[in-house]
Amino acid sequence: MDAEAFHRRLSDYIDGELPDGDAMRMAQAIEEHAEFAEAYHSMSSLTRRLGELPELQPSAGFEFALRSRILTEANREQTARRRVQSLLFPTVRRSLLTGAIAAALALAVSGLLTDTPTVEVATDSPETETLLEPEMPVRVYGAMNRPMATVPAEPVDRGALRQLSQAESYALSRRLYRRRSLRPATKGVVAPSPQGAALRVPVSF
Amino acid sequence: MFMVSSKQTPGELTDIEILSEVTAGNVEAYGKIVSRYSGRLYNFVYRFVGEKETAEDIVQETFLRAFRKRTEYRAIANFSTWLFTIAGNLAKSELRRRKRWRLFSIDRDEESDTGMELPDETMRPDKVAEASLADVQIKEAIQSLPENYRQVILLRDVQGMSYQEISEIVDCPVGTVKSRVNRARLKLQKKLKNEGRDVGLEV
Repeated sequence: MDAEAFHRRLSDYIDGELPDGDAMRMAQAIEEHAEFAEAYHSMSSLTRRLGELPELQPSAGFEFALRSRILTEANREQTARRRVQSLLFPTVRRSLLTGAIAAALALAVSGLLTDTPTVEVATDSPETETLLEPEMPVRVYGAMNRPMATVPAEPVDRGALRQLSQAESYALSRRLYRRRSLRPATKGVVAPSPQGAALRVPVSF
Repeated sequence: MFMVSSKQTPGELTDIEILSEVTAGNVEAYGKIVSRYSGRLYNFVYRFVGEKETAEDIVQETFLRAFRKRTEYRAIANFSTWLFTIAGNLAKSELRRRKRWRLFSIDRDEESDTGMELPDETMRPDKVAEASLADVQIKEAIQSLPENYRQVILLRDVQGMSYQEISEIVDCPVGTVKSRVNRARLKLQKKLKNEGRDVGLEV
């Protein structure tokens, strides 16, 4: 092995990167030639010495300065994100927007799940109740069983209730309140007695 | 937090897990990354550029850039490799900037004929006190190497990285890296020997 080939492979030999055959030839060259042996020991001790160099530490203010810069950067990112949000939704705050979307979703889901039956409401207090027809319109009776209003056969919602006059609304509320106070609220819809023409019904909003 | 030093110990979060926390909004978790790598990065950069203040600036900038780009990091390479790549590039840019500045200053000085002298930084007290004389001499010898050789020998012999990691950092084939490391060692060996410096080498 000539000197050039030896020096070209010396580093790989020290790092254990040579294939077995080449490594054996290098070892043999080191054993046979004094100058190769000297080069080998010199480079070995150099690499070892470099690996033992003392670990240096940054100055005392390094940690604080870095922390400040990172926190500043995080704040800057947050501000930029808010700016983009305010550009997209300039008048509505994010929390309000989220709340509105959640409410709309909840209404939509409840509308899908609740198949609100139409109900007949009577002023007489029923002792017994029967199941109600789902498509029945809501009839409101006043004093002396005088019919006062009929809510169409659609889901009873706020809109429908708003259409009632004050007297109608009052009568309906009173009936509902009385029924509710007589027994705990029931989820099931029950039928009225044959003579009591009607009943309170769950009204979903 | 944000302590300087050390490496990952068993049972600790991995770099990826920490980055996920940071991306989820826990900025404080980034301190674990900093404490894990700041010491190694600082040593590498300091021996690369040769100045403490510059090295600190570069290491800070490295962590800051990694923080900004944290969502872009993909676990294809080690996170440490990614950090060393950023630091190495910043260090090279700084050296080039410094070289340009010195050329410009010397040219201008010749024109004005004021005889400006570059400061001899080797005798600054902080530099003399930093380690033993042999360490200073080795550091100077490393500083005299060309950039490409200096970078790979620092990563290989001082940081103890594998050739594969170094090839990813310097974006060169492994064969090229091996060749550079070999030449760097030979140059360093020759320089220390020629100057007759006893740095503990068994020559």
